[in-house]
Amino acid sequence: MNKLKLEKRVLKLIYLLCILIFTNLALLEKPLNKNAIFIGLGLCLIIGFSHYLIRRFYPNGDKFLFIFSSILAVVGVAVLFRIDQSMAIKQLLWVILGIAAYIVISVALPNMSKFADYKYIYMIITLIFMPMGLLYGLIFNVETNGAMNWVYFGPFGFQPSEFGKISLILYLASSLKDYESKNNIKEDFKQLIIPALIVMYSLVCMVLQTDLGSTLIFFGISVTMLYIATSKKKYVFTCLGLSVVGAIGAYGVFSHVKRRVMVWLDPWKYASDEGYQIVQGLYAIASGGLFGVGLGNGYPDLIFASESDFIFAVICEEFGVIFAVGIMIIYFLLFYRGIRIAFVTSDKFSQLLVVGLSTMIACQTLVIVGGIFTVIPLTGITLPLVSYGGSSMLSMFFALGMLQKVSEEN
Amino acid sequence: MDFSKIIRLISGIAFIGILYFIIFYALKIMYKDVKSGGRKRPSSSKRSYGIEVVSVGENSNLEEGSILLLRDVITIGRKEGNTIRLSDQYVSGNHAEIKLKNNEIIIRDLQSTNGIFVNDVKIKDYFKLRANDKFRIGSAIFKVIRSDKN
Repeated sequence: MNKLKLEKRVLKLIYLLCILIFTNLALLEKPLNKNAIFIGLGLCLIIGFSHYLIRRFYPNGDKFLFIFSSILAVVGVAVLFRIDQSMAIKQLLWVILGIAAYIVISVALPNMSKFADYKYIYMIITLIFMPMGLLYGLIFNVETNGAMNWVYFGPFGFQPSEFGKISLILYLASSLKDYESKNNIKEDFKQLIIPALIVMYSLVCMVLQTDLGSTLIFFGISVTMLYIATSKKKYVFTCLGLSVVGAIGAYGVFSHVKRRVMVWLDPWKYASDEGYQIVQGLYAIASGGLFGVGLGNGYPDLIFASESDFIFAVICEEFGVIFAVGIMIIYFLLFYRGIRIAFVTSDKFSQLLVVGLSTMIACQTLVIVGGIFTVIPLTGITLPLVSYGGSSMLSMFFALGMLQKVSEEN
Repeated sequence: MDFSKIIRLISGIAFIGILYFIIFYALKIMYKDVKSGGRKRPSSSKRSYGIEVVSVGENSNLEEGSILLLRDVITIGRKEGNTIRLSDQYVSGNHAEIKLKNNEIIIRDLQSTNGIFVNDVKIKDYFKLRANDKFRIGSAIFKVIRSDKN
C-alpha cells in the first residue's frame, strides 16, 4: 500500500471522528442542534481542502504537521461547543484564520533561510512585545484574571506574549546561528551576552506581568536552543543554576509566586479559595475515569477557565483519560515531526528555528498539563490548538506554518 | 441500563478507537518513511530528470550525448567545483544552477556575463524548465530529458 493511500485513510478517520463527535453534540439537545452538524461538516471541508492545497503545491513537505494539528483543532472546537456554543463559533473562525495564515506562510513566503539576517528587527519586535501587556496594564490599570498580559484595541484584545514568543524564537535562531566555539571563555561570552540579556529581559517582563507560564516556556525554549547551538553542557547547567537563584528570588519577592507554590504543595488545604480551581479540575479528572462520563454529562461550569487553561480537565472528564493520553501522544508526535525537520534541513538558522518552535509546542503542553495534574505549580497558559483564544491559535499556526515551510525546502 | 447510557458508552469507545487508529496509521506511515529513509529520500514522484549534452560547442572536455542525472543541484561554470565545468571563454566562473524542487526544475542565472538562453530566449534571473527544453550556455547546448520508468 502506498503512502498517499494510507494518508487518505488517516484523513478519512479524522473526518469520521469529527462527524461522530459533532453528531453526538447535536443529539445532546432536543430538537437536534443543527449548528453542531454544520460546524462539523465545515471543519471537515476546511481540513480536506487545506490538505489538498498543501499536497498539490508542495508534495515533498511534511503532511503530518497539518494532520495532527487538525485533530487537535477538531477536539478543541468540539469541547468548546459543549461548554459554550457562541465561543465555539468564534473559535471556528480563529481556526479558519489560523489555517489560512498557515497556508499563506507555507505557500507564499520565500525560503525561510532568507529570514536569517534580520536579527535586529526580531530583537526590536521582541523588545516591544514583551513589556506591552505590563505597560498597558499599569497605564490603564486593567488586570485580566489577576495577570496583566492582555492589550485591548477598542473591542479587540490580544496577548502580546503569544507573538513575543515567536519573535523571541526568530531572534534567538538568527543570533545563535553564527555562534562558533572558540574555546576561549571571553570570546564565547561575548557572543552570547546579548541574546542572554534579551532572554533575561523577556523573563523579567513575564514575571512582572504575573504570566508565570510564559516565563517557564521562554526559559525552556532558550535553554534548548542554546544547547542545540553550542552543544555545551556547561551553559545549560549555568542557566539552570541561574534560574534556581532567580526562582528563589522571585519566590521571596513576589507574593503571587509564593501563593502558586503553596497551592501546588497542598491544594486540598486551600480547596475553598486559591486551590479551588485545581481541586475542581482533579475532581473532574477523577470522575471521568478511563472512558469518561460521555459528552454532555460532565460539569465543566464548575471549573474556572474551563474553556482555556483547564480544557484538558474537561477532555479528561468527558472523553476519559485514555482519550486524553491519546491527545498527549498526538502532541508528542507533533513535536517529533518538528524535530525531524531539523534533521533533514542543512541551514543552521532553519534548524534552530525549527527546534525552537517544536520546543515551544512541547513546553506549552507539558507546562499546562503538568499544572492541571499538580505535577508542577499551576500557571495559566493555553493548551496549544485546543484552548479557546485567538492569539494563541494564530501564533500556533504561524509556528506550524514556519515548520511546514522549512520542511518543504529540502 | 437505559438507551442513552448505551449510546454514551458506544460513542465514548468509538472516539477512543478512532483516535488510536489515527495514531496507529500515522505511525505506520512514519515507519515506512524511516525504513525507506536516510536523509535524502528520492522525491515521491516516479519521474526522474536528466540533462543531456546536445552540442559541445567550444568545450573540449564535454562529450555529445552524455547524460547527467538531475538529483538535487547541478552547477555549471568555468571554475573548479562546478558539477559541469565548461572551458568556453564566454562562460562565467559560476554561471548557472539547476535545482530540482517539488517536482519542478528551476534554472537560475548566477549573474553571469553572457546569460542563459532557454529555447533561444534569454532568461531573467530564473526559469522553470520542462522536459525537452533546450538551453544554451556559452556555445554548449543542453536538453532536459525525462524518464518515466522507475
